[in-house]
Amino acid sequence: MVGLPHEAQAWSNAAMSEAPSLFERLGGEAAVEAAVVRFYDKVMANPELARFFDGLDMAAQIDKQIAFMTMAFGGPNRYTGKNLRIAHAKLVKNGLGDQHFDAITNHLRETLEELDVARATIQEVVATVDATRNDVLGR
Amino acid sequence: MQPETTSSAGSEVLTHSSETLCDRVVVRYDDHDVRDMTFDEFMTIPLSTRIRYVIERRARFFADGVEIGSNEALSRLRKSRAAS
Repeated sequence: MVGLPHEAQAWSNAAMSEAPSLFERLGGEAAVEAAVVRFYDKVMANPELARFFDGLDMAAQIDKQIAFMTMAFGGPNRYTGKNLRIAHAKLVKNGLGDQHFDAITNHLRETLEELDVARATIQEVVATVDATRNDVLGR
Repeated sequence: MQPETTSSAGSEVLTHSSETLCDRVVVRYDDHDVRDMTFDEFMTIPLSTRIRYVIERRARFFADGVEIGSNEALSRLRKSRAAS
């Protein structure tokens, strides 16, 4: 690997550390809050998805939605492939499949569009979520 | 006037913002007590609890004395916090 001269490396590191992350670009916790509320309304209005939430604890669901949005927006990630599989195993057993994952992704995209997030950023977020598909669906 | 958002190489930049952020929030607590607070006070409530109040339609937002929808209030907050 070809190394950069010391000064150039230092400048590069500084530039990288000053570049706002996706999480910061979207508005950090305020983005998570706005997105969770809109996203929740959409998911619960979709009977194909709402049935997976029947009887679940509301506060716990909100915590999971916050973790999901934070991960999607590139913030601190509490998810690993393993715990995504565990968290969704019961839902997969109850029929959670690609069509539901696609519907979730579409609701997420719509949510971000309604929040006037730039198209390129939305694509970045959707790609991050799509990368979890196989873990969520237990494949 | 709406703030304009432009995009360049994946970065998002707010070019203008003259929207009034929400300045007052009325919250109905679990014990049915109703409290009128500033937006800054509302923001001191833990995130998950705030979201629950909004989802359960127990938080009402006001800007310059006019009620605005929760989605609109949170959208304005997000825009104001988005990095340029």
